Amino acid sequence: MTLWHRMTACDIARVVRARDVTARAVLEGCLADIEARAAPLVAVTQLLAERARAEADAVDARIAGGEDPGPLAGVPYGVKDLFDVAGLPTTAGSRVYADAPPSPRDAKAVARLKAAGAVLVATLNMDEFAYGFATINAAYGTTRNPHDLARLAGGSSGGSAAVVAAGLMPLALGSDTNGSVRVPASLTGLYGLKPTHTALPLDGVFPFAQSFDDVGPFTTSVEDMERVWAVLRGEPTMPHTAAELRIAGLGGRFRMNADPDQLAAMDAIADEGPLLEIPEIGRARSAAFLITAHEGGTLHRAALAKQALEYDPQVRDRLIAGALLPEAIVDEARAFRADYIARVTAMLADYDVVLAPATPGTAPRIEEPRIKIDGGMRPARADLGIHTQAITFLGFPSLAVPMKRPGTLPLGLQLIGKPGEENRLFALARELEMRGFTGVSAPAFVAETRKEGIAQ
Amino acid sequence: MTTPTPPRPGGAAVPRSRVAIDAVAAAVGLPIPEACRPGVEANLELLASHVRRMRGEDGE
Repeated sequence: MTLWHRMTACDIARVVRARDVTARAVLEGCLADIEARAAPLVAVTQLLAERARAEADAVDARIAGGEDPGPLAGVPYGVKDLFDVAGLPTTAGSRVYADAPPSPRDAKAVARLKAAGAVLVATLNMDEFAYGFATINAAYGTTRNPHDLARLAGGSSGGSAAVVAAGLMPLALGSDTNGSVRVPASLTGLYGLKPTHTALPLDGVFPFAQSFDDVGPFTTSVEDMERVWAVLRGEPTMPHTAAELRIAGLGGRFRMNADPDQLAAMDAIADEGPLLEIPEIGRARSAAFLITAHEGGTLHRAALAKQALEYDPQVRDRLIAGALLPEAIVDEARAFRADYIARVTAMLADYDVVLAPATPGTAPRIEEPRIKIDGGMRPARADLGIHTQAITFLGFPSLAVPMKRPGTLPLGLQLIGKPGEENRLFALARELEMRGFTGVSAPAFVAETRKEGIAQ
Repeated sequence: MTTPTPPRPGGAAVPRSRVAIDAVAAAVGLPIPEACRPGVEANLELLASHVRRMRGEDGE
């Protein structure tokens, strides 16, 4: 069996469109691989084989009928458990909503991917209600990192990251509120995008903290990311070249909590660009923490009043505390944010892209889920987003890119841009991929699969 | 260089005593089961630390 689904999304679409292979054949390989290899990852919450076969057959029928099957023809993908999928309850990773009424329609992002010819294969694990950076889920289990099954995949979109990193599909959707795409992208070695706030459609996505929530894709190449971005935007995008980009690095707390390899890569990429220190980054992260806690808690207040004991205890207690946070404090945080955005925007005005670590280190072990921050050990579930949350607070787009370091645990950088300027991030990412700074390395999980003869 | 935000000590407080927590919980219609109380109190402590940091009271 040729494992077509191990190719990039763009390559799959190319061979399907060229009739070298059917969308159905791509899908059957994908389903067989999931069946054989997904269980140890604890990433797939529901396999949608029947729906996927119908979608793949529809793509093949369009091709047979001479129609354009779309730019993602036959590309299998999965979605985090908080996207509406027609006919299924949207659980948001919680048993609280396991028996919710089925969604009447797909989330808008899912509908756009379907219209582009992509094939929805599975729903994927997450931290309950997206409140965490670890994908430790009381109902569905802890998602494992394909590069080392004893380690976290990160979260909250950990299931989405794990299936792509494992080569089970080339594309998955997650959501990023404070880092929930960029953190798992870094820990599993993928490209992961936090777009400009609200740039991608949130209709049919279970909310967490609406000031910061966004849809974000995971891919294995920059080309795939650009294509998925264009599809999800629903409009043509303008490519940009890296030649004229003004690049700077972020210093201060970003450098204090980073791996030496990240620092070396940032210095090399920024070349002679300056090192900037965003002021009051700790204050900003705390304000983001407070707004998130309050918006999440308020969203769940009515359900918590009725069925608190059905929630994951760790998530529940965070949500209740957030619901008890006085509105006046949240108003302070929002006022600080408005002022802060204005000041930082002015400070970064002369630069197109700034660089920062995506996570402070590699994936923590599941049995000891703690990370070193400012010299002390902190819980990974709450603090893996130390470098992403402050960027979210600014509303800037940020693309997590995987440093090229085969044979070692993955680690990512953030390419951070101005609102609406994702194309500049893609341009730099293309350049870095071409120069060998970044790129996806297959984990041992995939190599073992090949050794056992499932792939040829 | 940007102008730092001056610290803003004081202002509204995170409820931390049992009495204060129960009063806020009653006001927002959110009864707190006993099983949740230790976790909620710990999380309110954490939020209080973030309020202090946001206000610049911890020296940043």
